[in-house]
Amino acid sequence: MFGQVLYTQWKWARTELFLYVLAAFLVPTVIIRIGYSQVDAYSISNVLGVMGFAGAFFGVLALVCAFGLAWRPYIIDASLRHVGPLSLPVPWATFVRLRFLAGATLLLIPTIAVLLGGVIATATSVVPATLHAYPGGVAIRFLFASLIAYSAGFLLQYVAGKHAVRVAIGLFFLVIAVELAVTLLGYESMVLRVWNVFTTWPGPFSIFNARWMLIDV
Amino acid sequence: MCDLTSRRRSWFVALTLVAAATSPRPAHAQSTGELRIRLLAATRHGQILKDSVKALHEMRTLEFPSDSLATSELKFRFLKSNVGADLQATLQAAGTHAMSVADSMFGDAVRGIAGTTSILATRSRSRFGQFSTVDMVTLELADGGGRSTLIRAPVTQRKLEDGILDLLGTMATARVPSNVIQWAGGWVPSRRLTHETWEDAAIDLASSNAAIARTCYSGSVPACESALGLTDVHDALSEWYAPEGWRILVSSWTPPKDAYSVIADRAECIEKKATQVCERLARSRPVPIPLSFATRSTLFGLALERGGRPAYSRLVGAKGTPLQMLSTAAGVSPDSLIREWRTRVLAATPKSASPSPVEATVFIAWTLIFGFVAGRRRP
Repeated sequence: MFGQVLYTQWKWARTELFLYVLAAFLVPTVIIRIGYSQVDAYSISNVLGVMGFAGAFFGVLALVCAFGLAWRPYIIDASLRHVGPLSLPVPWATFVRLRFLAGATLLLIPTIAVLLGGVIATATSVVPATLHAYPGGVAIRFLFASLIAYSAGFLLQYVAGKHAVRVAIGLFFLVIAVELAVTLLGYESMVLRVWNVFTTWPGPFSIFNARWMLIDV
Repeated sequence: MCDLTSRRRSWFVALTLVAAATSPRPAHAQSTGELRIRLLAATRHGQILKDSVKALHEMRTLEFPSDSLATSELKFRFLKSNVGADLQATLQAAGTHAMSVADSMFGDAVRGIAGTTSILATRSRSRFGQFSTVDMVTLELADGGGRSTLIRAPVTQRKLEDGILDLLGTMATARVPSNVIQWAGGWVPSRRLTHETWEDAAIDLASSNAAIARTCYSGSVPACESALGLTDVHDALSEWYAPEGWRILVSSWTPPKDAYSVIADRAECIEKKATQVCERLARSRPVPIPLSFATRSTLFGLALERGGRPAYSRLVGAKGTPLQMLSTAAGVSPDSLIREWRTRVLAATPKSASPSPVEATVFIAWTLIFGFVAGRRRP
């Protein structure tokens, strides 16, 4: 059963996965090449600046991969009113878990591309003496970050259903409105507090807050 | 219809004329005389502003009662009608806690430090464009002292504590030998060093363009002392920086727009990597100490932490070079202090490597929780 679900999701997602793999594989090398041509490799702070830029790319790619893989299967199922999944001889919850597992498994593909891209990018660059290359570390961070973002996107999609986009936009505007009101009334930002809970250890999104540097101190 | 068009045209012409009359005039070269007059005027305005601030400060010093609030030796002066009962209570709590934090750094000397002068507190409220009032509190030293701190809304006990600790650090600075303060380039640290401060120092050490900093990174204690600016150097440029570093130094500053020969030399240094030109240009400016003021302050903070409560008192009475005085304060030899500092800096290096097993477990747990909850609702 899992094999079938995985195969179906692979068929649906293979084009975008190809794009993610291409981006994960090439973009770090391209950013480092362009970055190094603009800065002096001896100026270590400049090298760290370029790496920070490449790191931001990995974070964004993790989000894009995750949300793409989380939302697409649901949208396809919803367009057919979930007839396929509901007619299967397994409970809905079991089916959703298989879908979840299949998407999470597919995230390994861009992770491997990140690893290989990172290895090639750092092997072909000058690494200053006081810095080190971390292609493996970045790949593992990428895997965890994409898993977290994938599961959050999956949760939103499968709980809010066809209203997921509206719920996401509504949440966004609610946050803006609360923040605006709180600021105007002169109180401490609540949004900042909630944001800190989610983005600092042991919050789920603290992985995005870490250093994503291919070459770092 | 024709009348309407004619009226529109006349409006358009009038608006064009007004726009032409009020548009910015093209810049023209200024003579030396004009520039001198402008410079003198600016200096006079600056002096007037400085005098006004001083007069305002003196007015507040005279106006505020001397016994507004006291927590231990720390005294605050403010107008009760201005500060209000709520802020007064918060200020008292913040003062008490700040004194206990400062006590861990300065020991018994904290009482003497806090008694040096009182802190003036002024509360200002803003209603402009707001639905409700927004508080701001200014804390400043009564004897001037060169430091004041503004606490923006929302005014919390934590923010007040930080402000008070900053001012205690300023008061403590006045007693410390001037060559240590000159070396540190700031005030005496009044609170314990945080992990973030050490982390910044680790990044500074690893990313410094100075060759001496790399030697320090590799493990040489004398190199660390030199990179921190604690030892005498005969030729700072060649002793601290390698020729590649000269280029980075030159590229880090922008020459004036009309210094054409310097601009050309700079381009030759950076683009053609002409070492002699780089050296000449680098020598034309003061050579910076390889490690930043913030990094140096970690050594200062470590010396106070290492020496315990009597460290500050020992520092005040110490003599010699800044390194000798810091080691006297710490109660260890200079080399041991620098070795410990280097170990602490390297230990704080931020981790770009993979997450730890605990972190990985927590992230997997979050993923599973989200995935499990997702299956609870049928479409």
